[in-house]
Amino acid sequence: MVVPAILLLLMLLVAPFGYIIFASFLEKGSQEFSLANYAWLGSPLFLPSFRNSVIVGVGSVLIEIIVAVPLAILLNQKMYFRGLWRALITLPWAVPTIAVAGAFLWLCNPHYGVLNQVGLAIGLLKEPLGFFGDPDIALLSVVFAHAWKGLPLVFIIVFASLQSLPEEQIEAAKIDGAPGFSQFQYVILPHLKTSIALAAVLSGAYNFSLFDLTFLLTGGGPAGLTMGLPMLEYNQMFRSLNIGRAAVIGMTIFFSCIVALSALFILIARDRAKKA
Amino acid sequence: MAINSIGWLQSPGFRKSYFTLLGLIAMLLVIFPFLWIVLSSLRGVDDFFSLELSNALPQALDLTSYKLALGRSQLVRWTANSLFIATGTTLLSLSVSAPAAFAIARLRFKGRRAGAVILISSYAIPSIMLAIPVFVLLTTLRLNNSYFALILLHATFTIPFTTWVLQDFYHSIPADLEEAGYIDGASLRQVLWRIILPLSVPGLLAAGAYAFILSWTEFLFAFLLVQSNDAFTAPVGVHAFFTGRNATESVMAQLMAASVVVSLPSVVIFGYFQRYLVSGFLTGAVKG
Amino acid sequence: MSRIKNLVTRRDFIYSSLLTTGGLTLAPTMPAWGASGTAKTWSPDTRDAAIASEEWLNGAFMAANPGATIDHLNVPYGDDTAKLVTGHAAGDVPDLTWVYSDFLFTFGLEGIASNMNNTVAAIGRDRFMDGAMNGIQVGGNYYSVPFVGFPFFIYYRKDIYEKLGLNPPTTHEEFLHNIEACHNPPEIYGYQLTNQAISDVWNLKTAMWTHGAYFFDENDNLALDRPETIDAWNFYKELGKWSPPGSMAQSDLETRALYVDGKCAHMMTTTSMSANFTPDNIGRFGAAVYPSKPGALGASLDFYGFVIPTKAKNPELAEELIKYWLSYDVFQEYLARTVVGWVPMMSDAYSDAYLNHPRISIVRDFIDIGGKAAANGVVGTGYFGPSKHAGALTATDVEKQIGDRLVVLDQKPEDVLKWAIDVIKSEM
Repeated sequence: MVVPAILLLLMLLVAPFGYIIFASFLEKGSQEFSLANYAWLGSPLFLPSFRNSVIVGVGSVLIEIIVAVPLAILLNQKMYFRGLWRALITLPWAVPTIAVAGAFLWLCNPHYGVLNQVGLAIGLLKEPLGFFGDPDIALLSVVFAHAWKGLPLVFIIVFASLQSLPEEQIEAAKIDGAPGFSQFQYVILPHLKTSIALAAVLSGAYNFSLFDLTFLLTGGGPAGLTMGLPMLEYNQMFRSLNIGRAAVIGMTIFFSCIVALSALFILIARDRAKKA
Repeated sequence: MAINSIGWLQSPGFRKSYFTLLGLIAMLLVIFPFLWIVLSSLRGVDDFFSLELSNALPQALDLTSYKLALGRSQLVRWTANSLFIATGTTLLSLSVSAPAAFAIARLRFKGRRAGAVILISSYAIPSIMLAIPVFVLLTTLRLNNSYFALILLHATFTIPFTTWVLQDFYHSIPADLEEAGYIDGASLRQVLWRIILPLSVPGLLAAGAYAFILSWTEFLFAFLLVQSNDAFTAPVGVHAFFTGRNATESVMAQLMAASVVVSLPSVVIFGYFQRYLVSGFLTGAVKG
Repeated sequence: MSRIKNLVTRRDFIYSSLLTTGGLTLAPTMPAWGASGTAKTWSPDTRDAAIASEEWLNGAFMAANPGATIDHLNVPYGDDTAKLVTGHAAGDVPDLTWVYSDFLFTFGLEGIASNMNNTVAAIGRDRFMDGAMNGIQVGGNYYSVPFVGFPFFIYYRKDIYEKLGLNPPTTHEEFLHNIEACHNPPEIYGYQLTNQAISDVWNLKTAMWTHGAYFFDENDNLALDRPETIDAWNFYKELGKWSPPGSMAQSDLETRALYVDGKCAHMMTTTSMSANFTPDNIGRFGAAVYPSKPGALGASLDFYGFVIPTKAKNPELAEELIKYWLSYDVFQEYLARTVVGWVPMMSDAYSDAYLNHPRISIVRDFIDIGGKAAANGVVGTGYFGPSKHAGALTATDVEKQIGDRLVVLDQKPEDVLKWAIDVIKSEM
């Protein structure tokens, strides 16, 4: 049963991956083994992009968790239209990236966008906010857009996990006289811990390596302030036609995600050992 | 008197309404950007870029942007393409990863560790990196022109994730249930089919949702593999016809309309399946 | 039966089979009078007129060449280069696609685009405008056939000029003076300096060319470190001062909307904007050639050119299509149908019939200015013609970053210069 999965992956992922590793040791235009591409990792273009990608990955996940967990708990309560709310929350997912970028750019447009027009009208702003063009808040705006897009993933994972929390545990806590917030702290949260960690790492790794959204929103941003690793890789591969450097950037993204995934693994294993 | 009013506040009906209101507010805030797309798409195409705040909301329901968007392009056809590919991806992904996840979670066999590690580390591979070699590979295999290739490719990217989610899910199903099944004399296959599968529906849905969405919104490979205007998927089509240099105001309005059209199927599908995300199956399943 | 056997001897049989085989092998190489086969074509422009005119053209070509089929695909602008690069790696490319200045040189030098000298010669080199052709030669070869161009020039608000008694600028100083005179925030801003996306660094490029500054000199050496560069960049910063906040991140669409709405008095863009003017508002708009320092070249010039990739399966049919497209009558009809403001790159296309065509005549003045601007415009990044280092500029996005650093981050030109030289050198 596992065999077909492995075969499929081997063919379509591992073989090209192997080629990319091979290409990372070739400098552009030459056929000999060289570490020049790895040395390039120290170039002034690379480190800031790495930092930006990390900010996007971590920042978006933080926002997602802060919003999704209370939302999941809320939508777990008895209410009317509950099904409708739960369906609607998957909307950011259903919208293709191009539309997400279009929506945010349109909303945040300095002259024609409703956010700025309202802000100016009610006196909150004296000058329109550049959002994606403003050097101070461009990266934050990008983080926020990623958080919006990735929210359903975190919500669904946390919600599914919340569903599997047996009612009895909450009932027991209520009988023991625990006030609402303690219920949350001592019963719900520990149960959700693993799934929050899972959702965080999955969503974070995804946002970290996502190319489409940043590219469409800012194209690298004011003075490269929102330029991340995926976009750098795209530039190197398709504009510079330098597959060696693109390969090296890809490897960086890969290993960073592996590190995050391993951390998650260890956390889960430890958690499971505790339960056993 | 005082006691009565407290009683009213705590009545289930009030609680329900209160939470409904909270839910509504939360929803509006969360989906606000999408809501804005919908509202903007109903504004019509004249004066779309307007400096007047009063023009921000539609004065009347104007479907011009939809008419223009649908007329200029094959939006419906592309959405159907996307639907086909996404459904195929989800089915393929789940049917491969469910047994695989179960095997990894429950059974002991050689190479289990290695298999799990390879599967999960595949999640970390950014798809851009593999664009060129994969495309070369597919072209050599003469697969570069078919929907099947795209489904295969998308499934390859989703299988690591779906396997992992399902594996985690299976871990949380108490082994006692299967034990009970085996004791009753059931074979592995029967245990799988009658006990595990019904319980794993929420997990399957969550994993399936992810696979569907990844395939639905995937741009790079859908774009690289497309060979004819008919075969566009929704993101590629929207990108080609409603964005880009020198778009006019009308095209911007059409982009809003196109975005709504293209998002509808996922919304409908999710709306239908979300009820199965609720799982009360485990309560009382194993008692004594 | 025996009679037939006598008629058709063995020799006859051998002769006829040789003839047939020979004919079959020679047929593809014969001049395509009545071209045949299938050609895959891509185009990146999805404006209604662009699509309609191309559909018409493909249909006309297929009608004139019954054995030929044109298989056309629309590709998103900007991503088409990624698709071409990937396709080239896999050996799966179209027979014809469009290219624009940014990547032309890279494609030629990387061997992705094939040599078009023969096609140009067949069409007639002297039919093309000198400025463009000189600007796209790479090592004495042409790697694309330009057919329509987009010269950049200044649009100003004629109504505001009349109100304030201003005249169209002829020098940089006059330009700044006019901008300042119109500037009255927040109702109206003097200029809109834009810098969005890799293809919208035209403001920076134009500021540099018209001051006699450039990236690479005649010998392809990095030549940024000159006083002209500092002058140009200071001028650029001035333009930024008079622009609304966030203008550097604005899309072309927005910029044009702001100009038409009267929120900005000037902007720099191409002839195609004039296509959006309506008879009742066109009186408010005027155009002027971007001023240059004496001896310096003019504003930027972008264009669409046909490219036949080296790995194309049916290059002959593609060549036939190009020749058909640019033949005098067909091209005139195409120009009349396509996006207004796409200025032909062939001098003989500026016929009276074209300029007086109902769709074109409304914006005739703007097309005129476009023609003047194209006369000494600079194609892409090559002041002295294409540089083999053009790829280094596009890969690092350095032009966009220079603009942002100068205006958005308000850095000093000298500092930005140092930074830019470092970055470009590291990619060269």
